[in-house]
Amino acid sequence: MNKMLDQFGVEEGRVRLEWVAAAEADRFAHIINDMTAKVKALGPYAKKSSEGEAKHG
Amino acid sequence: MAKLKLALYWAAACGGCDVAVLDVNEKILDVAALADIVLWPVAVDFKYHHIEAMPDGNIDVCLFNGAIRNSEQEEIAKLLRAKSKVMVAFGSCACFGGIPALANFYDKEQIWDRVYNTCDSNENHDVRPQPHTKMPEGEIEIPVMWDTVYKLDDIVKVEYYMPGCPPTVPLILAVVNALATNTLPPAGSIIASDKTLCDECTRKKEEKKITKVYRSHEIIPDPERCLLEQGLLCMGPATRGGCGALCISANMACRGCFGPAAGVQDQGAKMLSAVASIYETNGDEDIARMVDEIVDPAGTFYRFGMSSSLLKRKKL
Repeated sequence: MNKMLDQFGVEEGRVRLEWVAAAEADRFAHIINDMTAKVKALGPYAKKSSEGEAKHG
Repeated sequence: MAKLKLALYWAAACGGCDVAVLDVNEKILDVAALADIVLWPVAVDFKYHHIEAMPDGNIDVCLFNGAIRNSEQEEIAKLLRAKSKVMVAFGSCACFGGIPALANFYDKEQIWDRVYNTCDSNENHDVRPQPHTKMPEGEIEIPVMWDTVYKLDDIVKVEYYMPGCPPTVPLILAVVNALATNTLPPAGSIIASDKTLCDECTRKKEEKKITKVYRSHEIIPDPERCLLEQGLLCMGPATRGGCGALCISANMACRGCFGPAAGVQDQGAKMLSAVASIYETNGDEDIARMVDEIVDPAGTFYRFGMSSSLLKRKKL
């Protein structure tokens, strides 16, 4: 999946797969905080549109 | 009954859809008996100004093939939409972006650099097409190419979708017949099957477990057994049926030209998930090997569907 997302230009770190058991609250909080910080550092996933191009989709 | 007015148009396409219409052979005479063709650039000499002169809604059906990637295609799509009662996205490019939409993995500058500069057979010194050129007789204009390839319904409203690269003759005849008898399905319908290609494939299916992925030139598959189970990336699980399993019958894996199956939002993601679930691994090394074996996952799983995928293009 990472290889395919790389082809789409989606930076590594935007998508992450983790398994957390219901009893692992600390781990869950840690992963969410870490993910939020990483995505904030990457900035918005902005799509530019070239001049004169239809604004669709 | 008065004859129907029929328009056929090609935008970003290879011409195969127009050939598919001619492929109905002697049945083309039925089409001619049923309809007057008012525009068909590949075969009939009518011009845009003939269409512009018509009142709105004057054309009964427009079969529009090809994706939209420049200003002319957008202009004609909008013109034909205004003049047509029924707009049909004809073929995979109009429905999902098709092969031209693989260009969405690049941008216009990268494409032009390849086509006009770095292509081995070129002797060009950075000369590029200009939308406007001043000549002694006045200014001449050519269409502006875009960064992104769109499907037809990104640009105009579409009533029917006929997928396929190209749509098959039985599907074309079914639509012609529906037009003749005024029995078209509800607007928004996709003229194909509601099931997946796997559902209409007659190959023997056993256990869906693979340990190696092959490209089509690397093995000659058993003609009786499921191609996916033999390690070929057959798009059947994620792809809409209705094509008659033509490629499968020729011992070729499905490439996905009928687009996402009913209820599937993103054909490539669905296919990726299908492959991941059948791959039998013994750890990280096997996984790394499989990732290497699938040489171009995005281009393989979104071969016909970039414009209709969730991401639509590579990030600009």
